[in-house]
Amino acid sequence: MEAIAAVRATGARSETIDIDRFLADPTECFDQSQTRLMGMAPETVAALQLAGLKRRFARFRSALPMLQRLADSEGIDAIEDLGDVLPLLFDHSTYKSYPASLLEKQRFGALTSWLGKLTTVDLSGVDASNCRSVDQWMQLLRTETPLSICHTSGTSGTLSFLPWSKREWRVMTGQFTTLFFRRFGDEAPPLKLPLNVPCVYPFFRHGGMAHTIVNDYFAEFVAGSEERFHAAYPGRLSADLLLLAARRRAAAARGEVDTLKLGPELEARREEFEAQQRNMPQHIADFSGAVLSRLAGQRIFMTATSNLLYSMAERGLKEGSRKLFHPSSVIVTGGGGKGMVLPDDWQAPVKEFFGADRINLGYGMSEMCAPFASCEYGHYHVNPWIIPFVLDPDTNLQLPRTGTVTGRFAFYDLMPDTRWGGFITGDEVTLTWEDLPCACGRTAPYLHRKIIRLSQKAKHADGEEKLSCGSAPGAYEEALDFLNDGAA
Amino acid sequence: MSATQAARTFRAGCVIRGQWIDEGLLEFGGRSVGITFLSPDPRQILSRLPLGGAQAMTDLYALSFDDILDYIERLGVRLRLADNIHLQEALEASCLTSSLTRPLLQRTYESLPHLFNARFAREMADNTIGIPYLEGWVPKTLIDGRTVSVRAFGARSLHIIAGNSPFIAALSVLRNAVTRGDAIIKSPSNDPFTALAIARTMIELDPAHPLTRHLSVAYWKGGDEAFESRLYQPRHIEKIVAWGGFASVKHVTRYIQPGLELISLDPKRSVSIVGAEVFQSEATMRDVARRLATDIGAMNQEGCVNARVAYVLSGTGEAGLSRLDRLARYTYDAMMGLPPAVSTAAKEMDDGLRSLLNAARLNQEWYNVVGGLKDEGAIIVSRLPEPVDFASRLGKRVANLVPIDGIEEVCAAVDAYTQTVGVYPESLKRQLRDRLALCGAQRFTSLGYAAHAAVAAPQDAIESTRELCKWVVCEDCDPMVTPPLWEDALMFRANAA
Repeated sequence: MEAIAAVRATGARSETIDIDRFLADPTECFDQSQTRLMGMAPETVAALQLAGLKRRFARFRSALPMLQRLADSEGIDAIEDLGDVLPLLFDHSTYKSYPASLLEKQRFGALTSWLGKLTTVDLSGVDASNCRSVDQWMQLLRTETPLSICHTSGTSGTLSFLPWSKREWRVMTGQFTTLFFRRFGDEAPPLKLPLNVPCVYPFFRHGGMAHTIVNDYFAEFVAGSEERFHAAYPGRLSADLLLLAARRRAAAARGEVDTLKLGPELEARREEFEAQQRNMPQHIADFSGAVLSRLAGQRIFMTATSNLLYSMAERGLKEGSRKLFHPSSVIVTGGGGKGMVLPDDWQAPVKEFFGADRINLGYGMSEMCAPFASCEYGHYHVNPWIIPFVLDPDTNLQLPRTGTVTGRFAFYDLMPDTRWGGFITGDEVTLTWEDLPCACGRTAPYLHRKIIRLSQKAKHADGEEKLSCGSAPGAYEEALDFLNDGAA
Repeated sequence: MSATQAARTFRAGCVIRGQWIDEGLLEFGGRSVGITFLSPDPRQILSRLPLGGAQAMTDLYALSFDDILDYIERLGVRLRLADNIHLQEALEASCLTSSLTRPLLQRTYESLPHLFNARFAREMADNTIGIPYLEGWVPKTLIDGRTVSVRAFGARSLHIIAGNSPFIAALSVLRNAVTRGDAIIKSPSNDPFTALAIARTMIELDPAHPLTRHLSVAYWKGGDEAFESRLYQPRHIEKIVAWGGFASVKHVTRYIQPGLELISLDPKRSVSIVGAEVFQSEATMRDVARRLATDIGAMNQEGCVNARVAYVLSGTGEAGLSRLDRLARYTYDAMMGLPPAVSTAAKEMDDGLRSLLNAARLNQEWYNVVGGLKDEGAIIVSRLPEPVDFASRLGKRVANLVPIDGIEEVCAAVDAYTQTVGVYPESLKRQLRDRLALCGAQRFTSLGYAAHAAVAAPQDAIESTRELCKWVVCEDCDPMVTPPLWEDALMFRANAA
């Protein structure tokens, strides 16, 4: 057992932190106290992170074939310094590095063995040869293994697959509740899960994208029961249909003749998709009417993209509704203006309509456990289980770890214990290090509000640009239209 | 260029029909272009850009074709990089704006005198149009007895050129000269100086010459609709030649209307097909590898002619794949050994491509990546009989070898976007050319010559030089020979005599 003697920044108390406990469940290790987590002295965090990274690397170096190959080619056998991990960071290409034809030809066995190189979970016993769709394959893995993998919206024309384990989703839910149901400076006793707070989700209940998978865990640990989880659409956001949407968009962007044909699998599910599309207006009407008014005045938990929140609020206020829920309701939304154009004061009508006294902003992505939560100064504080890096976007060399720097964001997420947590993003961020702490009292470094996709800046538009979460519904509906018009 | 480096400023100016204009300058370019350049405010030159009426082209018809060739020859002599200050400046600017590296740019500029050469220009004009049609009316007696004479007249054209090679600007000037056209060349931001340098050299050569006085070169920002919608009108321009990317060509189509036609040289890509004969001997493999490396690497794979994917009849079994791995290694070695004037490491690697390449390298089950660790170029061998998913992004000397078992599979290699198909051996080319032409392929060539295309030939399956002309007909009809309509004659009847 390795332990780090920790000092809190306030100097009030010192304690000993067991690294294995921290790695296993960082928030549990601090009794879900945001105050303790985000108030650690920088040297304690640095010691925890370096020790944690060494452990993760030692564990994964030979256990993850994809990492092994990368480390072999880079000649890296040990981590002595945080920066040593930089050549070993994966990026979005890694998680979609399978040949796209595997999906078209339904070679899910081969896809499983590819995924097996990215996770320590043994997938050799999984027989995916009978799967006929991405949806089936993902569900098979979920039923037969400890994984609950997620996919991205994939603007490049194919989907990335991230091998999250169910345990990681559970830990992530604990992180999420610590960040958004507790406040910094609050010394209240630990939260007791489930919270039994009704959850409101204005999108699909089920699906393979990170923000729909997490519903399973919010239903269990926040809502406490499926009855208290209220999604706008009861069905599943189909990965196959999203893939179709992504391929259509990629082909259109390349100016290619539209030659996409529907596979027999999608053809066979045409009726299911038709029903889904047919019922969408009724579902959203029921949701905005009956469901929301039934919850009126209650403390609820809700996650949604900021443009969706804003459009719901605008519509609701126009119809004369206001202060829908209890002021202590927890509303979490993705900030960081990824391609969204909202008025500067978009939060005011949202608060007015939903009635929550604050809107919580988070910066996150499918590749990272729990988002960074924004403090009252509008800063996204880096969670201590995340080792942040800011890189020169041209050279990918690390920028100084002091002061305020702007560049490409990369990180190592120490929490996952079945997959490699190193990832290089496509986002340009401005990060202020611990030596210039935020006035909110958190000691952790923080990202500034303005975050942009490097691809939008680049002179040659990068085809890898992600659809923001905000535009995924549009692409999905477009695919439903395409499918149901029989345009193929 | 690094993010912190300030862009250098160049004074560009513009040329309108023999006049050099460098007043009312505005700043263009910037960090994303690589330089800042000063060029006249497009709004201020707008009214001077169109030729005032087509009759203003009569001066071109006082020239014989030999006069035109003589001018071209004299221009070629002046386009020697070593002596020409305008070209020297264009080279310096291009080194900052172009995706090509200095040795490649320098070699391209050095080859300009060879392009502006009377013999060469005559061959181009004769092969693509036919000099008699440019020189006068070419008569032919039809079966109904009448005589039809055809002559190719020059047109008022706008050339929206691409900047991936300075050669495109030069070729546009040459085509305008041999067709007796009045051209406005819109310079691209990645090559703002080449066309201008040639136009300025023409002024120095002979400011009053009709060929000098029917060439204009200017810059405006593509997509400036207020400007474009005023210039791109049938009363000013009859033809638009649009080179370049999908978005920019598509953008231009909005101005096309009756009286204003589009000659579209839209984006293309090229492939190679290699027959099983490559594996006959070690020497053959080395020879084919060098040819393939040239098709991939010449001009740093910046052209539409460059091979990106090569289909090889290696077979897809273990033995086939290992043969292909060896060919990939030889190709990589040959590419690294190409002379710097032909190919160099890329000026700037595409980050997205690098990450895709690195990800492919981690998936040995499906790909064998040779090289590429230093952004110097790489050969990716597919282990499945299909190209990499990012085939459309291949560039920067990164190419993909795809194993196939049978020649039937190569049809998948070409579509309407396929320009050049480099083939080895020659017998395979003859075997494939009809079938692949129907699939969309536009040019077949011997492997190794993809980037060395004939100028005296159609381009992209269209006769673009020919289309630059207006094909005018003059008929002589004698009622005694060709029965007239006023006698209620049956149309399209052959002459009884």
